[in-house]
Amino acid sequence: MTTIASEYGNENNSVPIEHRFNPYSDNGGTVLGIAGEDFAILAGDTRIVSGYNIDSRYEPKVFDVGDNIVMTANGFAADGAALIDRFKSAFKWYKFDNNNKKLTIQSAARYIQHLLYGKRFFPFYVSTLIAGLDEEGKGAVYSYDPVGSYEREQCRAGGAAASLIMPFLDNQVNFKNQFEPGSDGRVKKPLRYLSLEEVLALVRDAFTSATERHIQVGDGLEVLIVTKDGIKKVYYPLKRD
Amino acid sequence: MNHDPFYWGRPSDETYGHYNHAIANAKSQIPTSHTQQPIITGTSVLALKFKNGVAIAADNMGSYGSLLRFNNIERLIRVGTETIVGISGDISDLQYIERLLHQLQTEEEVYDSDGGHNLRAPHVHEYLSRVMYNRRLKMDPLWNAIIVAGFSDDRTPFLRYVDLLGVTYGSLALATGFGAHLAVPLLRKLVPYDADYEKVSEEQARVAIADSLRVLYYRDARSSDKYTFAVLTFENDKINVDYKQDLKVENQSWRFAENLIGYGSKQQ
Amino acid sequence: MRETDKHKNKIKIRKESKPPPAFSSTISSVQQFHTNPPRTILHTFRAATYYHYLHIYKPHIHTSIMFLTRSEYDRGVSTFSPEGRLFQVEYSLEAIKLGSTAIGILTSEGVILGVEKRVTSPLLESSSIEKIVEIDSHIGCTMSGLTADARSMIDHARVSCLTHNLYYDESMQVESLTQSVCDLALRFGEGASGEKRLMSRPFGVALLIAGIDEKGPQLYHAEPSGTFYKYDAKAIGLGSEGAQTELQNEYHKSLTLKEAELLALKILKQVMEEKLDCKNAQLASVTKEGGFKVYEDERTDALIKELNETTVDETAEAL
Repeated sequence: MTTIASEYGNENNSVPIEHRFNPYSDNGGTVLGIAGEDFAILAGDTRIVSGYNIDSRYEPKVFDVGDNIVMTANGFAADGAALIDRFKSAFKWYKFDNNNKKLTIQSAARYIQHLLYGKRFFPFYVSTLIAGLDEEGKGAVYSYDPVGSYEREQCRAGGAAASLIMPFLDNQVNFKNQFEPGSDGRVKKPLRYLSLEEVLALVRDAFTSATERHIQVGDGLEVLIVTKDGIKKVYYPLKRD
Repeated sequence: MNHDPFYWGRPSDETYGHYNHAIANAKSQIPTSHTQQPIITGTSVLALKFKNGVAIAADNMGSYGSLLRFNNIERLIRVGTETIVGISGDISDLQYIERLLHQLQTEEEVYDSDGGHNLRAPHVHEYLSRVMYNRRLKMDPLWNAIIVAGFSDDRTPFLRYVDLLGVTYGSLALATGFGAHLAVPLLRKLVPYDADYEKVSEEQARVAIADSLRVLYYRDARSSDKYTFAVLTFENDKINVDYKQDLKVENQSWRFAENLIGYGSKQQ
Repeated sequence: MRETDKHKNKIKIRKESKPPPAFSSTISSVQQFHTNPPRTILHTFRAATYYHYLHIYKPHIHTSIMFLTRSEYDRGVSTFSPEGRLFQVEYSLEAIKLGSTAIGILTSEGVILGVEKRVTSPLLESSSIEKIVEIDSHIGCTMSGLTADARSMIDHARVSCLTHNLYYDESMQVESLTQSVCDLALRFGEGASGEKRLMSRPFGVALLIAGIDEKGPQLYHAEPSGTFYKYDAKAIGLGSEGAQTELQNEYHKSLTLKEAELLALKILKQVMEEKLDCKNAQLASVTKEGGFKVYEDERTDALIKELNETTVDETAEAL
């Protein structure tokens, strides 16, 4: 049997068109957390996208979740918001059940693992980061994969431009591939804590660069800074193209 | 997500690759799954914040694929005294949501009889976002994109979106479906920065929405020229709702059509 | 209808100030007791329970009669009597008074738990009597009453501690743990939010929960009624009255752990009939350094020996 080529070929297809509902979407955006000696920051751009549309230019995604902990969940925006909502309510229950005890970042970190792994077979499609101070007052950043694998790190980038920012951070925060001048590449540059000013400069550079090279990143940069005195929020405009 | 009205809400080919039709023919190899697609659909909803209020509009058409099935569908729902919910996507799901919202309103009126109107737009939006996200979790979504327009508790204009996935966001200008492509750039031209909505007058907003609806009527094949337009304003400590139905897209000019080539009968 | 009739009948009887029938409510009989001296032993019992409620319990009054009499409010575990009492819960508190004595003493260094083990036969292997148990590395407890009931409480407590540690990567607070055990104590009825009834009756056992957390060492007493209190020193069980008095006399805030060990043994010695040894008494401590530790028999014996020597010294001095 021969078929005549036609514009309407699809419509006469004998195979019924069937589609499973896709419960996920990618809302773009990127996030970044860096820990310092006595502070930690969590930064995120404020753009939200679907496909090639910029749906919103200002939709914050980094939140103060209580007890000097900041949190973000970047990727599929509905799951991100749901995860943070769940954490906030778990936080209240922790206070009720444990005589108003301060939730340490270490405990928060473990709890979030269970929130994520609890949906192992219908995952929250997000890269999650939290930042705060540990029990010694040192800056702490914890990062997660979508199903709850987590670790404490000095810095981590997540979301759309993670692959652009992370190598930059490896080099600038953990001094990867940096050597002592004159050592002919034999003596590694020793690690040291960065100051808040240095970190903010890195964050701004990371985001302006990511904005240049990634279409889902831009519009605005919101940074939450955690110190022993509380949480401070700063906003920097980014390119809107 | 694919924004083509015929494939609206489905995974986009660019992201997920071309759909494998063999899946549909599979018998026992893979588990059966619920098929879902919108049946009768409503197209774009447009909304814009201005100095002391919000404007929101949607046409009255219900399409069955490419068939103009209904021309009398009301897609702007009033909730309480100062909130409008605009719904696009599946019409039967729209009617279900309408019922939920009326139920919500009744509960507010009957059980929260403190004289105040406490059911405001942010609460309606939060409620809808929970409904939408929970249906997504059940893999049984309400196939809609929704815009909630009204006022926050401090009476500043409120505008926020939620869709079948439970994705929510706010902006000074919002549009669903085709409007996200065609209308949003026009609305943003009037108010480039989010904080700028305070510089926009009610009249400017009305014109911008009307213009956008006209452009959509030119280019969105699933749109109609009959629409409903609601303008909410807060003036002298009072909320005013100007809700107008059966409006027509005015000042149409089809002269541009003469120069169109490549479609229909006139081919080169 | 019949219920109402019964009630009317009762009121009538009271008005006519006849002696109340055997199954009438407690309050009428108490009033009766105040106006007329009791004529039957039954009345005596009711007065006794009433006095006990006011904590001026008189042991000489015939308590064994108690379980022969019943009112309509005795059976349903979650039915209030008209006076607002839950008899089954109150009786469960009585069960603890039959249990062997257990003592807890709080010091700034840690908490000491001491308990009497009733070795009822010389053929009984005393190490099989387990009355001090670990809940987590930083919490332990001792019990008095129907110790078999404590099994499910301790299981629950251990699960609570482990789950907390799993979810929060930290040890559970002693108060939170106690609260979680007490939540279980009320599960003889259905929960307010649809929780299933787990048990046919209240627990017949009380716990002394000792632990240490970031708030320091703590001692809690958890009752079958689901209430719990924090104590500096607490005794429960058969000898608790005497022991508590002794604790009140001897306790002071600057007690050392060592002094608390000896005080616990001293009080056990006073309230126990048998001669104190490592077979019929057991000690445990919770300290910051060591966590929860049950004492080895040798250590207990050494302490008993030390106690006996000091007592001898004191007696000698007194003479």
